[in-house]
Amino acid sequence: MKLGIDIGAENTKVAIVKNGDVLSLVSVGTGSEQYAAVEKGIKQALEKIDKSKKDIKQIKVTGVGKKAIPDITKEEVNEISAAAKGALFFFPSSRVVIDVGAEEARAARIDSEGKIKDFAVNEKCAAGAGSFVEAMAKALEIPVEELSKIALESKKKTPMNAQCAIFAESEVVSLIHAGFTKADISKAIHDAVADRIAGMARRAGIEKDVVVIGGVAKNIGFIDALKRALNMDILVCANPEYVGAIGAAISE
Amino acid sequence: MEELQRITVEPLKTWKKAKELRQKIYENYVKTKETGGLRIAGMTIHPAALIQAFGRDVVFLGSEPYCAGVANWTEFAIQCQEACEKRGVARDLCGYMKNYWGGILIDKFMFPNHKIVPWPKPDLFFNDHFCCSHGKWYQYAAELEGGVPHFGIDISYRQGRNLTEDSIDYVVTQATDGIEWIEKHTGRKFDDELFIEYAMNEFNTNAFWAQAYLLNQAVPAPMEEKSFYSYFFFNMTSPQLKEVTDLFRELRDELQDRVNRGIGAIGMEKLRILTDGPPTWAMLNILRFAEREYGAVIVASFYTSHWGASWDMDESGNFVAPKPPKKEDFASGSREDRLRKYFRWKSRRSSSAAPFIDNPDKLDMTVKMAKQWKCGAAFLHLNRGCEGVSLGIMENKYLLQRAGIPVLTYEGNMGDARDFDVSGTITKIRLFFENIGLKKLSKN
Amino acid sequence: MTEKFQQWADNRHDYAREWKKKNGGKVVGYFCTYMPEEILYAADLLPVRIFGSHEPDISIVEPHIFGMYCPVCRGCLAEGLKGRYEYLNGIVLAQSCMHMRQAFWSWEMHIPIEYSHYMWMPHGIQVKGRYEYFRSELVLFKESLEKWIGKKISDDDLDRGIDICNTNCRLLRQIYEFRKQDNPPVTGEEAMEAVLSSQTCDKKEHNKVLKGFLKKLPNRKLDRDQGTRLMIIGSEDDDREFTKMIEQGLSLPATLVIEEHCVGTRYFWNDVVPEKDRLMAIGRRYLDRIPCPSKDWPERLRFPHILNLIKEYKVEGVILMQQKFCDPHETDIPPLTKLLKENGIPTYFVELDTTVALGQFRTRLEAFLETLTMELL
Repeated sequence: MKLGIDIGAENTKVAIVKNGDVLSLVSVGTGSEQYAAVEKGIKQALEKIDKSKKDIKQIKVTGVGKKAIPDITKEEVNEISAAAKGALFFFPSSRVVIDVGAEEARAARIDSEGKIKDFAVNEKCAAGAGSFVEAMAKALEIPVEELSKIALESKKKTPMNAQCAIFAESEVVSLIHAGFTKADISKAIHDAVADRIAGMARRAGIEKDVVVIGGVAKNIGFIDALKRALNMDILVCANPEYVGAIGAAISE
Repeated sequence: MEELQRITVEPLKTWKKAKELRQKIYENYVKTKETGGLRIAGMTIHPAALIQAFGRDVVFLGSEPYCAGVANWTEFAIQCQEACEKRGVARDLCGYMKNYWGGILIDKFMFPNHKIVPWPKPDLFFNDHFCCSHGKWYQYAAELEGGVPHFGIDISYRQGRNLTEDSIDYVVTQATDGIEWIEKHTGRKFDDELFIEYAMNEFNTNAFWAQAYLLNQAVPAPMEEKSFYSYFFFNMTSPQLKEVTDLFRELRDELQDRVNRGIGAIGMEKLRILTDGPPTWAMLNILRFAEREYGAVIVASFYTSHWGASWDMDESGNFVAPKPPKKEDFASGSREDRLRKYFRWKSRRSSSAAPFIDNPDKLDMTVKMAKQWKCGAAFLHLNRGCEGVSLGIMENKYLLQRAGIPVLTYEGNMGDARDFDVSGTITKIRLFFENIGLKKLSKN
Repeated sequence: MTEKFQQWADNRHDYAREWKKKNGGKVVGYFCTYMPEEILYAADLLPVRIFGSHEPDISIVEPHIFGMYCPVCRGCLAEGLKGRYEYLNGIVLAQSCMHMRQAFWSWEMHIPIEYSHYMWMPHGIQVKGRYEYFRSELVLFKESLEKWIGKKISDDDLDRGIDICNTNCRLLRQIYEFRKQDNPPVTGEEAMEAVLSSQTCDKKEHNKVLKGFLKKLPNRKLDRDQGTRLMIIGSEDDDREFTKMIEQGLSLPATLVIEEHCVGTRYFWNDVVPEKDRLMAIGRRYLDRIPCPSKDWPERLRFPHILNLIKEYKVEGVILMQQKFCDPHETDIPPLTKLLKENGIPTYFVELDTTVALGQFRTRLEAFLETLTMELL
């Protein structure tokens, strides 16, 4: 059994994999104590399948906090490699992996073995990450899940400021007062985020198949917008937020 | 554990002299007026010998290297930038411009050793209009100074592989006009003998610089980019001074000696990197990080090799050092003849204006450079502080990748540290190295 | 009456395709108004200025243009990469700012095109030797065009091209005279559409419609409140939505009575003055026109011209419209703001992007107008 840990800014994910099967997936809030979060995550993941630490053959870690747990494991996997390996695990045809987390987004162009040909990261820009969508949901006073659903109801093209998240937030307020529906505004928000992500991904280069991982991959409004921005189909697996942890687990 | 041969390293012998000379140039710039000298400021790619021909006590300081020095001292740079922003200057404007205008506004001028003196007002601005904003830089600076005469030479003419006689006519007409203008504003006469002397120094400075740079093709490379940035200051501000010509000759000899003895820039050369453009001056330590932790060293840069310099290319398209003319050949003929020869030297292909004036050619030359200097990767700094050096940078990435050279891009700002995320960049560098299979050096 | 300009501005791609079909000719896209259209008309080509579409999704340019480049150049390249300009036979650039150069060079690199030409138009529009040098560039351009189209461009052809463009400039200036009046019979939106359509369709046709419009102007009365007389100063501005919002969408009335940017007066404010050497005459026109900020050095030629326009058009307030990341224009903003303040002219600064947040700008501009109306009272 192999265990992979992905220490993210908001959540720490743990995955246990054996012989190509995912046995256990757990996510705990990272908070300010990364070590404690990892310990809790490992404990819960093992309890789920009624196993103990001695059953684990290897533990590997990835994510922004990968250096925080040397006592648990020093075997680090860089985030992009983990994402590539994890995406190929689910979709052997993956050639571009887009990872959209709470604070950061990355795109990597890979080959069939997960070797990275090029990568790009969103540069100091909040409009390409999950926390932006959450902030917009707050401005509209609806939960994020509902925000993503209602985006699909709109067929309008309501333009939002192209380049800056801060302007976009106050623009949402203006759009509300101007009488635009929440569905239209939601679509505009998702289009704006998707455009930022598409731009970043294009810097790494676009090839079929494009896979999106990370928590924001569950946002159907965003995936729909990204399909339109890249003008191609997007693949998303179940539990996309665990792909990094799974990729770390199966890394050689 | 790597089974790599350790390379012997040594500090550069010429560095002490270079530091002292740099300090002297700054001091001369400030003090020259006390002894009746002339103080002239302008853009660094300037007709250095032409300006110097008005007297040995004319001191020119290139604004860009000065502003790079400011950027390197973050606390001082922020004072300059905030002074500008209070005046309504846009945050995203050229990082160097803000460091310069800011100095005028707060009346502070810094030396490389961080000594501060009151801002030394130039007698004249004499600048080559190099990017879209250079003429505007000195236009506003002149107003902030309460009025300084300003002359601009337009160097946006066809040059390099496209050079025509009309181009030479254009720049020489302007230069002749510029000479009359300086004479009118200073009461001094252009001295043809001094022009010959200083032009020959400039040609030789360029030749020695190219010869020194070519030595970095050796494996291991005898010098790394951070050191090249320091010596490059002299190309930018004083290539016409004999002390600079001598310094570069010594540098070339020193690097040749290092190549002969196998002395390297760093102890473990595992990856040779190409770069381009000014770096994030406030945080040059990211280069040391790459060297120390991965044995990755920047050995070539189109920016430090070519700006303010002059090169030739042989029939195979390789960069070779230019051959200065013999003094008697240069000196022959009329003043106009000499000005034509001088500007022809400065307008050759692989000259400094290439990035702005013939960007497609510059991109090709960058790829050639990567191959000639045997680079296995490239770092491209997406410089928010300079749109000029960012011209073509994404296409540069594309062409380098097409040539099989992996490229890392990272955003930063040469002039404004507030636009640079050091830890984020270090993470990107790590990810990049790991992705191309470059492992960290072991502690031994 | 101005529906034709609006239609042309709305349907520029269809227009160009129709023109090609009807005339069997070639269409050449240009990026900057320093391009001498006279020579293109002399060669029986249709010059069309390339514009972006103001759509927010222009991620397609990210691999080509650095993020710190202006929305104008990014918008132009996006249109090319999206295939909207597939009908173009050629592209040309008269050397202007670095951002437009980037758009041109990336276009040349990635979008198949039959003909392309980069003209080293001088930046030194005040330096000695500029006329002769630019003339030499125009000679090279003319020769390059002749090689492409397979025929010589004669002096008669150049005279014809000059006449077409001069007529267009003259008619636009005559129309603009009417904007000096109280309650001008032409709105800023209409003026923008007139200039925009001049830049994207055949001036021979455009001249006919301009003449017709000019005839009707003395009797034209608009059923609207003039409100505050405003001026827009900018680098490039083809944002019709924004212009419409100012004149129709604010809670206080306002009219854009004049502008200083290149989809406005800078485009047509001077003519070619005929001389025996036609290329020299054309060159002089472009070198002597009111300059784009990127070429306005060492002396400021723009500022006195702006003050003059303000006086002649009785401007009560100025909107400074800054294209995000446009350095040359940004360097002018602080001294220009200072100058206008010293001359008692209220200004308001707005920054433009690919799309414009109309809601926010509306609020801000209404506040600006309120302060102006209070001051005027």
